[in-house]
Amino acid sequence: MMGDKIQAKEIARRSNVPTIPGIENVTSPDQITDWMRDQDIAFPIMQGGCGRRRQGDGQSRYAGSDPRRACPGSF
Amino acid sequence: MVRVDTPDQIPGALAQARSEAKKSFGNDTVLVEKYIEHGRHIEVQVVADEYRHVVHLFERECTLQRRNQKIIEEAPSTLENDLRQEICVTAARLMRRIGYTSAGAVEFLFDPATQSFYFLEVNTRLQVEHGITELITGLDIVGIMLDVAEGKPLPIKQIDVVPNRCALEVRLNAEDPKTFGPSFGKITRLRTPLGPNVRVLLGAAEGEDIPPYYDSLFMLLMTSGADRADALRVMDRALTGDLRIEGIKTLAPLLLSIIRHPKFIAGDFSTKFIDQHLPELVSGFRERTSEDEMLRVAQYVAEISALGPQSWM
Repeated sequence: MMGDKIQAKEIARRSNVPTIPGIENVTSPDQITDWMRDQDIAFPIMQGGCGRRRQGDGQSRYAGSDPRRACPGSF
Repeated sequence: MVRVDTPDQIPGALAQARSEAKKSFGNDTVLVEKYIEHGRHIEVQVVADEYRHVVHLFERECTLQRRNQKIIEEAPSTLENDLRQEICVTAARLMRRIGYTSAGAVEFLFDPATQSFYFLEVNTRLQVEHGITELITGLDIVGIMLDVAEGKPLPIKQIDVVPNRCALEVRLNAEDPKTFGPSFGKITRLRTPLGPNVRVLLGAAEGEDIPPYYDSLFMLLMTSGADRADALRVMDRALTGDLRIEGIKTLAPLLLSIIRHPKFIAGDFSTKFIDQHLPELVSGFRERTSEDEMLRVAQYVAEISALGPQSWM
């Protein structure tokens, strides 16, 4: 369950563990600018997907050509 | 992850992030977060049993990274005590909430500017750097994992865990310390540090080959001391006086430059430290070889010949 970053953040929030201010399920630039304006977030920001790797691809950890780049700080 | 610094970068960065997410995870859902400048990577070691007992073993500082991979870790971190208490209790609360068992680490990003910490992820495994937590707590984390796996309760309560030392770990990777390119071949000479407060975990021996196919880490060097300065002093001695690795390049010169850097000694660093200071760190390299040792012996003999026996002889 903690392998999916969005789900992990949600569990952390429910446990009153502080998480980095962010917005999920983003598909358009307007969502980002609205979020930054509403939450008073300044640049820089980070964008990326960081979920669980698809089943059956023969690897067990995070995705990307280099998992260390996909999820910095995991190793 | 794609960093975005200005509004006009948003559309392009979003398209790139969605494309990468689709390829990597099978869907193009994207997460956007505030980027924490000068962040520090702090992780809390936790052990838990199936009876909902959760104990934290305090935190580790894992901020020193090159290419997003840790190369120096220390325990505890240089956080103030009240912040340390808060971050450790928070980690234990999260692990209790998810019903975790065994050893695991809760990773946080610490923002020195606001003195805030943020959850990153849970590492549900034994980590490379667990050894320094063992050094400061006197506990055998692997032994606890095995006991918990057999259904035994934790052998400790939170009040029993009292760190009374500081410990440091450096990762000896078989890499060029200037470019971080892999260095493989035969280890023609290997002498590891010995002595009090030094722990070495070794994955290769003299005469063996470092192949190009695997991770470059082949040796962990840990030191401990009564305080951070003491642990650093022992590490300096271990890297300069006792360690000899020939035939391949290692990160040893870089590691030594880092632990001697005034900002590192002062605890003033972020995950960007190596990128920001690399030329300065490289300029401090002084690689020693057998040739250097022969030169030192020759100088010593020349001094005796010229000046005669010294008073201590």
